[in-house]
This record gives sequence, C-alpha cells and structure tokens, in this order.
Amino acid sequence: MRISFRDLCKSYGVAPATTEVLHHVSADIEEGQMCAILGPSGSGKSTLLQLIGGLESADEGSIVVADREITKMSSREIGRYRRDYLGFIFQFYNLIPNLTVRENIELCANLTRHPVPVDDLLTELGMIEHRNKFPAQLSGGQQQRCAIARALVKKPPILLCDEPTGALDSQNAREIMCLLERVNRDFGTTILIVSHNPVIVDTVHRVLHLKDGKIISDKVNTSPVPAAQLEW
Amino acid sequence: MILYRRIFREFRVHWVRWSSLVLLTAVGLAMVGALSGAAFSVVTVTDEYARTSRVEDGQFTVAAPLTDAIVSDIEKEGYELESSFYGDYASESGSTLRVFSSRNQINLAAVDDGSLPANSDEVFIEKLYADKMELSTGDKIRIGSSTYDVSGIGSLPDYEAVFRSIGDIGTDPMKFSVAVMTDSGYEKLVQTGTSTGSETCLYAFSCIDNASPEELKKYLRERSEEGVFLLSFLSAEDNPRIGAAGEDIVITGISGIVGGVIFLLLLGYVISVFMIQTIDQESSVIGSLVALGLRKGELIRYYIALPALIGFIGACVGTLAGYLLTPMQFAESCGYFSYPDPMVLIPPVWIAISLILPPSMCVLVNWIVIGRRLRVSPLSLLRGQREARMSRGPELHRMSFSMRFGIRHAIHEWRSAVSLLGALFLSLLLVMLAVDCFAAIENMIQDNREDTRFTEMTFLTRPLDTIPANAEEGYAEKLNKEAWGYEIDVTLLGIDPDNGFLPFDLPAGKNEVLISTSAMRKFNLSTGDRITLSEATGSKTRTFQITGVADYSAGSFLFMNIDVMRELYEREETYMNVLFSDEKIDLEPENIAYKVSRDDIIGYGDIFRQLMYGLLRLLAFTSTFILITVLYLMQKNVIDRSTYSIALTKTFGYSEREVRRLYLRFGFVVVAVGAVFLVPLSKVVVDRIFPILVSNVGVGMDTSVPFLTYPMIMLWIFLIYSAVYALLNGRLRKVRASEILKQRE
Repeated sequence: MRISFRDLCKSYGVAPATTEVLHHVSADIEEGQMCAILGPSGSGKSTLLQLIGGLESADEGSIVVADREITKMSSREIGRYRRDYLGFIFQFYNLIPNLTVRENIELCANLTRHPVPVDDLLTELGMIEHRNKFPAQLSGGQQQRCAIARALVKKPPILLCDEPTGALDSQNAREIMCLLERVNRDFGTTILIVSHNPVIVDTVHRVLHLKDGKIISDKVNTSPVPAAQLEW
Repeated sequence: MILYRRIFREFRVHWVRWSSLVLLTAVGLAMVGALSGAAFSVVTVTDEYARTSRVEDGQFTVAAPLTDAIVSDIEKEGYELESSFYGDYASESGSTLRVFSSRNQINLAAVDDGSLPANSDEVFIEKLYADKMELSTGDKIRIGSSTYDVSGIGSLPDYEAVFRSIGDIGTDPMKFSVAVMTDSGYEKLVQTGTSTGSETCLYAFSCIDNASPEELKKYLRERSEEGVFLLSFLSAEDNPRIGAAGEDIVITGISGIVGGVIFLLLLGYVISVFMIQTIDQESSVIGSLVALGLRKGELIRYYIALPALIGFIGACVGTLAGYLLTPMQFAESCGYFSYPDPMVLIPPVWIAISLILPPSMCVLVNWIVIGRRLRVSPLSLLRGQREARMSRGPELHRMSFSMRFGIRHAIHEWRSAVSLLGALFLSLLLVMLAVDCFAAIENMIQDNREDTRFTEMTFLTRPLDTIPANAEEGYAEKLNKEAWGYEIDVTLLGIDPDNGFLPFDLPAGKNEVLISTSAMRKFNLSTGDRITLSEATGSKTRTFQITGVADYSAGSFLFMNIDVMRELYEREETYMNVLFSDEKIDLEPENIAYKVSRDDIIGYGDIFRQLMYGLLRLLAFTSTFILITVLYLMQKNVIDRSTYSIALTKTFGYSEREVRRLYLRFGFVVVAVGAVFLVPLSKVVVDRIFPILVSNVGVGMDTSVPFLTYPMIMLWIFLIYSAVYALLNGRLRKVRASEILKQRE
C-alpha cells in the first residue's frame, strides 16, 4: 500500500518556545517497499512515523494512504484507518502485562474478520511454547516477537516499526530484522522502520535520512542484503 | 525540601481527584456536623432552658384551690409551690387556647419576641401557634369573647411538646396551644364564663434539698381529710411535655456519629487507594530519590503532605458547612417542639475533632501505605515492582477473548475491585440506615392500624363499680426493663381470654405471658425465653415465661390471663384498672389516669414520619453523593492506571465503543455483582445496629422491607452507576492513542 506525504510540518511546545520537529517533509513510499528512516535523536524520524500512524496530527501538509487523506480524518476515521491498515511495533514492545502472549495477540486478532490463526503465527515465530506466559516471563527478543505477532495477526498492509531492535542484543536484533524481511517478502507488506542504527540500511529497499526535521537524503537500494548476513 | 514545591503542581495535575476528595470530606463532615451539631445544640439549649425557666419537678391538680395554710405546710416539707390555674378557651380559627395565669417562680416563659403581658388586655402566646396563625407582637387576638393584644411570643417549659392531654402523642398548633395572661387579665377572662370546660387548679412544684415528688404525692393523699382532693399527680420525669425535644433529637445525634464513623472509614479507604496508585506511578522517582540519599521518613512526610492538606481543607469546609446546616436540621428535627430558638452551639472540642480527624486519618492511612511500599530496595523501586507483579495467572481456555480480557483485567485490578466494593458497602450502610428508618416508620403505621382494634384504651386511677356497655375490662401493671442503657416501660396487661379487642390465645400458667411483637423486637426475645422486669419502685423483680407472641405493635406489652394476674398481684377477684372500648366513654375526670386512642396511636406514626423525614433526606442525599463520588474516583483511578493499555488498544484501531466495553465493563460487573451481595449484607448489618440507634424509643421497631426494596436499591445503584458511566466515558474518550508514546507500563 502506497504512502505519500507532502510538506509535513510539526512543532511541539507553546509559542514562542516552539520546536519545529518536521519542516516541510515530503516523500512517496511505494507499496511493498521496506523503507528505513534514519537520523540522530531529535531529527524527527519518530514524529514522522507517528504522523503516518495517526497518533499525532500534522500542523501542515498532507498524508495520503490508500488514496485517503488521513490528516483530514475524524478521530473515528483515524481509528478505522489504524484498525484496517496499520500494524505497530514499538521499541519497548508495549505488551499488556496482565495478558498472556496469546491473549496479547488475540487483542489485535479480534479486530479483523479473517486474522492469521494465532497458533500458526506463534509457531512460525518460534513462540508457540511461550503462548501461555506473561510478558514478564519472556526475554526482550521474545517480547518483541510477540509484539510483531500481534502486529501481523490482522494482516495489515502497512507495518510501522519504531526502533524495533533498539532494546535488543545483536543476535535478537538480527532475528527480528530477518522476520520483518520475511513479512515484507511473503505478504508484500509496506514496512517503515525508524532506527538510529545505520547497520540496517543495506537490508531495506529505501533509506530516508532525516536531520533537523528535514530529509537530507533519499536513497533507493536496488539489491538489499539479506538480514541474516548483517554484522551488528 | 524542594520536593514540597511539587504539591501544588500535583494538585493542579490531578485536580479532579483532589477536589473530589475535598468535596467528599466536606459533604461527609457537613452531614455529621449538621446532625450531631443539631443534637448537641438542642440538648444544650433545652437543658439551659429548663434551668433558666426553672422548670417544675412535677405538677398536680386538685378539685379546689389549696388553702394558704396547706400551701405553707407543703413548702415547709421542702417544696416550692406555685399555682398555675388554667382554662381552655376558643380562639382564632376554631383552635383552643389553654390560658394560664402569670408564672413568677416555676415554669417561667421564654420570650422570643416582645414581652410578658403587663396589662389585663394583653396575652403572651406560644410560638408555634403564633407562627401557624401568622400572629406577631402587637397583633390582636380573640380569646373567648374578648380581644387581646399580643404582648409577646415564646414558649413554656412545661409545654415543650404542646400536648392537650398527657396521653396525647401528636400536637397540632392549629387545634391547640397555650397562652399566659396577667393574674388580673386571667381573672377577667374566667369571669366571662366562655371557657370550654371548668377551670383547672394546677400547682407546679420544685423539690428543695432531698424532697421527692413521690413523697409529695403521699403527703397530699394524707391531707385528703383536710379538703385536698387530688385529681392528678405527675412528676416531670413522667411528663411527656417536658424535655421532649432533647430526647427526640438524641436519635439524630447518634445517627450523625454512626454516619461519621462510616464516612471516616470510607475516606481512609479511598485515600489509601489513591496513594497506592501515586506511589506505583512514582516508583522510579522514589527509587531515584532513595538512591540519591533521601531518607524514608522524608519521603513519607512529603507524600503525606498533600493528602493531609486536602483532608484539612475538606475538614474546614465540611465543619463550616455543618455549622451552617445545623439550623436547618433544627427546623427539620425540632420544628415540632416549642422551645427557645437554638443557637448553633458546637463545643470547641468537637470543632477541634472535626478539623483534626480527617487530616489525621489521611496521615495515618498514608503512613501505613507508603511505609509498606517503601520497604523494597531502591533498585526494585527504580525498576518498578509492577513488572514482576503479573508473572502468574490462571489458565483461561475455552472462553471468548473479551471474557478472558475481562477476567485478566479484574485480576490485575483486584485492589480497585475491593476498593469499589468497600466504597459501595459503606455507602450502602448509609442508605440502609435511611431505609431502616423509613421501614420502621411505615411498618409502625401499618401495624398500629392493623393491631389496634379498640377506639380507646383508658387507664384508670381506680376500679369502676360497673363496666360500661360496649367496654371490656383489663388490669395493668407498669414494669420496667433495661435495654441498651435505657429503662423501658413494659405494661403487664391482664385481659379476659375472650377480649374482643385483644383476641389472643392466653396461657393459663401463673408466670406465663404472651409478648407483644413490639416488645419481642425491642428486647430481642422469642417464644420459650424468660423475661425479667423490675417494678416501678425498683424494689422487686418479676420473671415471666414467654409462651407465645401476640400481634400488638403499639407498645411494649406482656399479656396474661386477668384472673391469673389478679392472683399473682394478690388483688380482689374483680380488680381492674383498664377499660377497652370501641367508642368514646364518658368517665369522671378523676377516674382517668390517661387515655390512649386508636387515632393517637395511628397519629403517632405520622408524627414520627414527619420528625424523621429531615434525617432521611439528609442520609439519602449524602449516601447518593458519596456513592457517585467514590464510584467515579475509584473507576477513574482504574482508567488512569490503564491509560497505557487503553491508548494501546486505540492505537491498534479499537473503536471507542469497543474500548468502553473492554475497560468499563469491569466496573459494571464489580458493582452489579457487589450490589447483589452487599445490598442484603448491608441490610443485615444495619438491622443489627438499628436497635441501638433507637434505644431510647419505648417500642421495638420492625425494619423488615418488602422484597421489592432490594431490586429498587439495586436500580438506584444502577442509575448512579449510569451517571458515573457517562462521566467515565468522557474520561475514556480523553485518553488519546498518542499516550502510548508517553507511557510504558
């Protein structure tokens, strides 16, 4: 699913002490593309992801997803948009602590009529034996797999990943990237990965570099390297 | 400490919570203050009134005025005596005014407005009458055939309850009241011959030193040969007109204190829940501060400061509101009695307690809660204990996801569920207090109507030679039984087995009795129990075996066969001193000790209803307010704590309706299940407490309610919950998906 954003601006704070986080940012992410958004802290990369995810509203500009302008949507429509089109993966997993692994995934499975069977997904992700455990009983890598399963269970056409490997060791980080790569390949899911780690640039189709709220480079990678071959 | 600067900021951030707590404290204390303040003020004022007005120790009426010699002899016996002759006269709007000659030594009038009459064409009238008749000082009033100027308005201490007859239960200023004239004015009025009856020669007396009313009664009887023909004798203790307001309001005062205890428990509970949440939220901050060297005591002091301040502000507002509401409570509770307008007299120690107790409660609860929370190591605090909290749980299979979610949520929020149930239970105690008061009154009215078959029950001063037609005889002895610290009058009533007015299956044994339903409830007795009573003089006790229960609710009675009773008390075979009749019977006044009519008994319930409605309204309002506030605060607390997961579900695309179902159903289920169990439980608890609250009332109250009451109360809870639900829904809507970016559980 194609994502197109034009002249996006976003500021935080109260005048006159406002901080402009995004300054007229524009790009088109093609359907099925795996795109990394890189940049140092404060560059605006997470804000961009949040605007696309409808978690924040843009001050200016437009975001079009599946031919629909999301910046003009009501909160109810935004909810519908997130439900039908988006999967989220966060740096700190954001699992609900009082639900088991299976129940955390079912939370999202309930949002669609035809979800991926939860047990199949857990088997695929090597988590089936942990399905009745609570998040506190899992390692960071396992929790992130669970979070990915939760995002994938409703088969979203777009996956938004905010520092998905940021809290993981190299081994687990590689495995997560392999997983995302597979999802992109097998389901044609458009994936946006926000990261400050330049290692991942070789594995994605496209890399947007942000600095001080502006895109300073936009590179297309015609022959991505398999994530399994990455050196962290 | 720099930390204290956060207090105002914390208040600003959570202003709804803290303001609600201020309001909760204020409303609770206002209720307690108004009820107990009114009770204390009225008791203080009426005690002072009795002292300054030199209220009598007793009174008696005689057939003819006493001679100066006899008066002098009585005074030598240790009594102060004053004649207080009166006659009843028709007045405005068909009412009857009992006009007294002037009083100078005993039962002095309390003047609210104007002055006592100085001339023979002036009259001082009772205040409730003046109010109903819209009379003011300076107005003219027609009494008998003459017109008088109203010189003043006020009350008489021997007519605090303005009963026409001693046996009356109800008063109605539109029908009967009292007035005072100068001696010359009174004489002129008597000479008009317009009295509706004969003049009554009443003497009021005060005992000096060790003299007693009983000795005076005996003395007067001994002087019968010298022309002292005693018609009636009544000690102040037995006079229901004297000290009525103070006795009545004691129930209100006790209700206030019980309500206060319940309220303080509730307040402590709510605050402890909030503090646990605050500490949990600030776990890492606290861990950091402890790691940086802050002592536990300093942290506790800091975290206690705001709740204590809130408790104190609430206490100040509540105490002030209670002070301001107290006069309204006077009007509600004592507008029925005639006594000087009470001032709000709340003792400083009560004000101190009222101001100190809520913040002290906050300090104590928080000291315990925070102290327990801070027992863990700084590292644990830094990491947050919440992580480890949910590492086990029941395996839930074969249930729908939403059901499993609900159960997990309930397990996670079990403390909130307990808090919710605790708050619901305590609020229900207040509601049930109102329900029991209401049920007791309504049942009394209903039972009295059904159980009272006679038109009049007349207690006689001496046996009659012949029993009037359509009347039946009885024999009564007054006995006492102690209950909850009060001496309760119990009438042992001997009746014929075929008495048509009291158709009971009487036992034949010498010490066997039936107990009235009222006495059964009052003393918590049943068939097979034994009851021991003391005689009025206190010198002798009698024990009876209860063989059954008689359906009679209008007083504490024991019924036995009249012949058996005569034998027991060694009376003549024809002795009797009670007459039951289905019509009014004309007897010589000297034969009548007092009468109880069916209308009086039924009317008593109406008066009681009128007296209690103020209390009922206050309890109903307060319990509704407390329930709304507490349900809202507790559930909001759950939402606040679940902000992260709510935001997360919104992020995933859950609609508002779905989020509502996931997160608000928890509260609904807890309240619904809680109501099913707690409504009957609170009724049982209050039913146990209620007899203590009405311990000074001479009858046992039936607090049973129709089954429909329970679903009605549940409906009331549901309606309250609906209001809370609407508020919570607004709160839930405010949780934005972007919260997920700020918080991590």
